Amino acid sequence: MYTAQIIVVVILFVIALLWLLRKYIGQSKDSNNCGNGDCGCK
Amino acid sequence: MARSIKVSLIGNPNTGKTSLFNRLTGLNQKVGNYPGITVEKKEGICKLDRGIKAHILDLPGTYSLNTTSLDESVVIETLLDRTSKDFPDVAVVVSDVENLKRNLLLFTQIKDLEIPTILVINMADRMKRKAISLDIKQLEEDLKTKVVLVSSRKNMGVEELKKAITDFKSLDIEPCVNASVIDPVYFERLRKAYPNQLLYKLWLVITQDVNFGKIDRNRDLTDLKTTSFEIKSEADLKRLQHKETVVRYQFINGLLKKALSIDTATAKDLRSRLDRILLHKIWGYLIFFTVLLVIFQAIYDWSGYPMDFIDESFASLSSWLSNKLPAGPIADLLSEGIIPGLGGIVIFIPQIAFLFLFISILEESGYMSRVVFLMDHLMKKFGLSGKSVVPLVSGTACAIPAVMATRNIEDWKERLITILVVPFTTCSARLPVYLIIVGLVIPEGSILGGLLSYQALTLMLLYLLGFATAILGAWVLNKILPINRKSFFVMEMPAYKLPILKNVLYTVLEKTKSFVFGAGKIIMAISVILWVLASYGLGEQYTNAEQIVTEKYESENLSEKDLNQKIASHKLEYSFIGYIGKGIEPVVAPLGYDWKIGIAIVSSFAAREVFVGTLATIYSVESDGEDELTIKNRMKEEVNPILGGPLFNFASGISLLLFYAFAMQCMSTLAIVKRETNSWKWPAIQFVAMTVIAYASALAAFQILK
Repeated sequence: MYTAQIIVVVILFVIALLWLLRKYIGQSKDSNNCGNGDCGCK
Repeated sequence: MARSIKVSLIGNPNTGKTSLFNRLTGLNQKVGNYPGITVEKKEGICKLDRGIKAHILDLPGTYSLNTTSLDESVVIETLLDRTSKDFPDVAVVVSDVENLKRNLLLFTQIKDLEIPTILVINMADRMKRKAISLDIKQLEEDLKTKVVLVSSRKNMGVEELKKAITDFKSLDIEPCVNASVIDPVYFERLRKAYPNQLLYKLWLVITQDVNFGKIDRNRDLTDLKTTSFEIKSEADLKRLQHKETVVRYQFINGLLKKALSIDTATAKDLRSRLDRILLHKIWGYLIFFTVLLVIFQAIYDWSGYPMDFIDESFASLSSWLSNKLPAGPIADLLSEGIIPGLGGIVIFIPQIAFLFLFISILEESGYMSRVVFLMDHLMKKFGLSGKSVVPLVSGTACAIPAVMATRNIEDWKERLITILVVPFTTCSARLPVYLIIVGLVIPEGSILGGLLSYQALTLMLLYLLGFATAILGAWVLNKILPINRKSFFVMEMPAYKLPILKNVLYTVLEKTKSFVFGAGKIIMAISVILWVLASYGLGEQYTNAEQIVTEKYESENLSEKDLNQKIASHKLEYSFIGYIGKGIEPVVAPLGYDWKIGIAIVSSFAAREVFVGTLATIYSVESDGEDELTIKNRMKEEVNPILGGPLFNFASGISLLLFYAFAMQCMSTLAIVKRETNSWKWPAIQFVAMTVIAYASALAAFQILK
């Protein structure tokens, strides 16, 4: 029972870690969000 | 069989378009983004007669179809692409009875696109008081459409509007202005080159810098090259656009001369009298600061009881779970990790809700626009654009939409400076950190005969500090990056209105929901990670903690409870997180923080509000599991390991407040800045500069005050 709980905790830990990494590191590379064509950010 | 009508709600800003949208759709709304861009898309369903449903799209506010910003361009894209799923069967142009002349410019442009168009004249309830009379029949005749008088505030005329939408097929689609008179030769050539296209649509395609899906601008230009058609220069096109505007206003002036009359002698114009006071160069600022003081005082006074209730409830829930669930890692994760972590977010709901309640009332009443106007005078002295005021004010909610709101600043350098300084304004994510620290280190006394508490005053000063730093930062950046061009700030001053309770509650609900659910998911993930890192470790000191601590305190005859507390502290110190924290400690110790605060600062880089939740999780793991202590009490009991005495004292508290006031503790904002500037250079500069300012000011504060 204790081992099963440890496994669940480890799985939750990995999911949480991956979710955070995906949220903050894996940002989309969409560059279509500048303002006007001459906004200077392109 | 049920039928569906696609309706686009279009209008100038501040015409009550969103209020009408709310009135038509009620709770049947959904908010999303337009594909590929982050402009908000609001849609809703309205039930009409005969089982017909109207699918209503609330398009961003725009003054004309000669758009200059990304959100405005959404309007023209929707209206020009007949193959788009959002292309309307009928357009409803919402205008304001007090600004009909300006509002009709947009109406005439849309009407010329030969889309069935209804003109809604909103705020009709004010006509009597303002002594305005309208000849609706004349308006309908000249505008060749249905005109409906509406008051979205008083639910007047809404049924008539629904009927007009149902009968949209009977509307005349004939244009009311002939735009080709501005250059008949040019338009005739254009018509010959594209005999199957609508002339005014072609003109808009040529003059707008918009990426059309189906009406491919490049293809049009390629075709133009193959004909004998003369391509006009940008300057010529702009000249013609101005000419078009003049022609339209000539038409509108002639129409309003016949259909509109205002008897100024009988008008009871409270607005002008109020504006004279609220926009006064001395009284205006004094009133604004008084309003701020009242807001912050109310935030503290009113939210105390629900906050204490939430805090105690979460502490009891943790304790209850710990006792009821079978012992094991999952029960510990829940009672020591997730529940205290979530409690660190939920506790701030009352204060966040009160803050947005006041902001929403100020916006709805029309006072916020006066504040923006008032601040514009101040801004100009520091080299900021008047248009920067809106992002800076909206930054008090969240820096992310505020950074995106800079899109309506045409000049790139002004826009860049605004993007770089916006994160200094106090966003709602800083509020939880401020509230808990202010509550711990600022005394409970008051001034002005008990009217204003020290804590509320400190909170207001922190807001002013953020705003002042943003302006000062802009001034410095203005010197480093000289601005070549100045953009003009044109804003419409909306009329004063009694806030509509429904709209205020929608805003409060929406903002609170996004705060809880946005931060809640991050808190949940971080709580799991922190709990695992704090509950497990390697090495002899961790695995033999019980034996080591028992031997160490053998001679002191500690009670079982105290001994368990010592063992838990020892284990935490040698857990994974303990090692990480000890690595950070040399960096944060000069600021008056211990390694646990160091961990909270690092984890709150994901989102500032995570700070409190992180400390709650760490202190929960450290406790022996029997205490039913609230987050605030746990923080109060912490002792500075180096200097002794309370860890959260005046010096370390002020140091923490200053650190959070200046530090760029928000990955999402950095990601948005990267996206808006299309480079990592600016977010990197922003991060380094803000962190250096935060560290230096926190260090100075602690070293002076300790």
